[in-house]
Amino acid sequence: MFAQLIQQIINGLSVGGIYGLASVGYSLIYSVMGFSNFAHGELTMVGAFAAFFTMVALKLPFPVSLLTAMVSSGIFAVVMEKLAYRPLRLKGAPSMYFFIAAMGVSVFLQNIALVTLGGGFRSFPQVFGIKTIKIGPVAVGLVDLIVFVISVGAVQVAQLILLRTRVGKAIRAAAYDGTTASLMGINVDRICFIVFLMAGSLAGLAGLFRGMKYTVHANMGNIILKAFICAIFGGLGSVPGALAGSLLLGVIESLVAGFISSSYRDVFAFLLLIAILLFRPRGLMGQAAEEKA
Amino acid sequence: MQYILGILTVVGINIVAVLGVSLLIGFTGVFTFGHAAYMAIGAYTSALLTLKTGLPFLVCLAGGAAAAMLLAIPIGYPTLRLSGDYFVVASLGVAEIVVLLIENMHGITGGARGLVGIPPKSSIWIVWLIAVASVVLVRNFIDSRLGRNCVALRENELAAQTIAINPFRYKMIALIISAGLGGLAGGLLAHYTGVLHPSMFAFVKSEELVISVIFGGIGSVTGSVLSAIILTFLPEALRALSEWRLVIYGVLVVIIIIARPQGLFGYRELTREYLRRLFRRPQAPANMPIGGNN
Amino acid sequence: MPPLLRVSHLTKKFGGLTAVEDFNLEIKPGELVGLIGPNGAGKTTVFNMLTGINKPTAGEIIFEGKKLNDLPPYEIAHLGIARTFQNIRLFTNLTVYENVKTACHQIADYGILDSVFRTAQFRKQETAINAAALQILKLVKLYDRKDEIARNLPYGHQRRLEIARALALRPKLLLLDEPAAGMNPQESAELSEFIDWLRKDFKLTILLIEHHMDVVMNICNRVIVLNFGKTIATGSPAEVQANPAVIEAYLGDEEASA
Repeated sequence: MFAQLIQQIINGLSVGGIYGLASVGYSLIYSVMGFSNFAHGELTMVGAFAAFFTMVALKLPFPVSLLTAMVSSGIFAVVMEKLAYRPLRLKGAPSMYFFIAAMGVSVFLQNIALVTLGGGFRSFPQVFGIKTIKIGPVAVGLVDLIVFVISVGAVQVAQLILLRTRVGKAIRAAAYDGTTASLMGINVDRICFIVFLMAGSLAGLAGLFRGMKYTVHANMGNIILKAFICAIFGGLGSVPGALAGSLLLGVIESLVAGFISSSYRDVFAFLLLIAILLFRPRGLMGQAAEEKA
Repeated sequence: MQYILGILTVVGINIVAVLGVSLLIGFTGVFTFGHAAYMAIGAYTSALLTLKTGLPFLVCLAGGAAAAMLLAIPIGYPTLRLSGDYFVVASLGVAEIVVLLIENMHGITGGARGLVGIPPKSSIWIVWLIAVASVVLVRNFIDSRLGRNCVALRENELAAQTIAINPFRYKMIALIISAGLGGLAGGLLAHYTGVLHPSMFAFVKSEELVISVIFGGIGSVTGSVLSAIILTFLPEALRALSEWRLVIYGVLVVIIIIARPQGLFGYRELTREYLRRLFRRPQAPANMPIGGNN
Repeated sequence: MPPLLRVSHLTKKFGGLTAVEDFNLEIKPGELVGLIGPNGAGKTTVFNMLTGINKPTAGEIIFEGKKLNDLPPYEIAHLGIARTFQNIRLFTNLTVYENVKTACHQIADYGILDSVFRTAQFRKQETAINAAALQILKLVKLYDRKDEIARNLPYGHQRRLEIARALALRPKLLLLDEPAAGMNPQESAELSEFIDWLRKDFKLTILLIEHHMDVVMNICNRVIVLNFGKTIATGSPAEVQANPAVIEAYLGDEEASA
């Protein structure tokens, strides 16, 4: 019983790490652009397929496919921003228009994947085998451990970039107040480029890991709902919050699936979201922000 | 002939559903991403009422719509006070959860195998009667103090508040009416197809509803109706392209929102006056340079 | 006569920045008070607190004996405080007429069923709304442009439409945030005349933020001067104009922006 609990928690942490990769990027884009990028889920799908074909068709080693996942999702993210969001940004369009454009991009990417690659599920080749590591009575999946460590590591790197570099400071200024930032001579175009590149590559990593843990398919973009929920848990727009929210949701889901019922796992996650919105709408660690008139 | 009548019936049903989404997105400025959930609730509730109680068809339809409206309350209540993103997330979630619950509650809904044997009571006459009535009633709502308050929220929420409009109240009203129309459309659909299946209310359905509103134009009832008609016929006419349909729609949505956000007729209605002005416009004074330098 | 609005020790802090500090104000019914000061002095923040958009950090706002501090903007508007914005906020895709009609919504109280089934009550109240909206449009001389889309109006007309929309609330207190911004001397002279006329004919009480000194000096009963969130002078326009602290604040501002 105890061993099973620990295993569920570790499994939950690795799932949470994957959610974290997706929700941190989503949160970053939200904080700078001020809208929910629905197409963020499709970026994970792009990364998963890119890594899958690198390994299966090109027969390249795992580290290369990891890089391909990040690079290809990053490029897709940047192109998405250039073609769909930038024109709206320049026009100062209302956030509703961004929602709509994002939905269009999401529908496009998902369906072009369905048409060209089919709706089937593809399994990743075993990279780390199904090896487990025994710690006392607890057997931990090697994949879970690696996924967790790399995920949390990648998010930390992103956080360091935000906190320590000049670009990071500019991004945080833009997130705080876009107009003031542009008045202060911060190049908003460049900020958006870097934010989408970072968020995209994290999403690519999320896709790769999710593909390794489960399967690769055209509807993988549905992770977006989980990314939203995690970001809201941690307070919309906060990077450390998004990671904490993700790990929390991953563990809760894993425990619900393991001890209650796996078919009601997602129902539970959603009910939790509604409860949080009712009682702590700014997230578990978010603070009330005041709107400027 | 049977085939054409069938499509026309579906057109009528889609008009009702798109109207609901149009009221929310186009007139109140609340973006929704999971409206198929309300259709699903309406469809299953009314179908089960028909199958289990044998109440009159219109009573069962009303029951379906009422169930959808009830579902809207716990979704809207916690989220519509917050910024738009929160409601969008909740709408996305409810779409997934409703389908999931239908799949898992085999005993009642027939689960993934579907619910069969629903009597086909949605004749084309009833469907079109309801569709026309919905258009008229929604039009009346929009052209009233309540509808104008909703539109004010879409236009500028802060300014709307300074003229004593409570945003939460009017967003909630719009959401409940919108969910009711979705439920009504779902009920009609159930009694037209005779079978229900959770996949009929998958995410694609929600996306199609939003796409119809965008094509028709934000803030136009006539635009939404026309676009519901065209988008129902188009896939039938272009069967060869059926696979690529959503790929093309996705691109079109992005292009429309960037280049012509008002869609076909956005913010304006297709009235006789509009048409007259449209056709009068080319008669510019002869000495005006064509394609001037503006 | 008891004051219509009494503001005491009003303070607003944004993080570490104090935008408004210990602001005090009493307005009697029918007064026209000017609020002036260099850019960033906290004038708009005062308006935002009076209309519930920003919550005060400290202090009290009492309107007709009712405390406003924790009320949301729409309830404050309902109690009778209307405002305009420095950066105009119209319902841009609606016509001029629709803008004003929307703001007349408090005239009617019919319900949803009345609206969808067009009952007698609906028709009666809508007729009243239409009449009220048209009357206001005539007052602000926008009647001829009533079917134009708000977005397409020239700037001066947009300002006037925003005032019309505020008037449609039938407010007791009207807050005008730089109504003459971007106007030429002739336009702003017309505007001062219009504001003065509003006060007299509508028996309105008005609080006015303005940069154009001529507007303030000609029509205000009293003037309050803010600088860096603090009140540096109050009094009649002539008194304030002669106050050395005010002259310094304005000169400093001009040197800074020169």
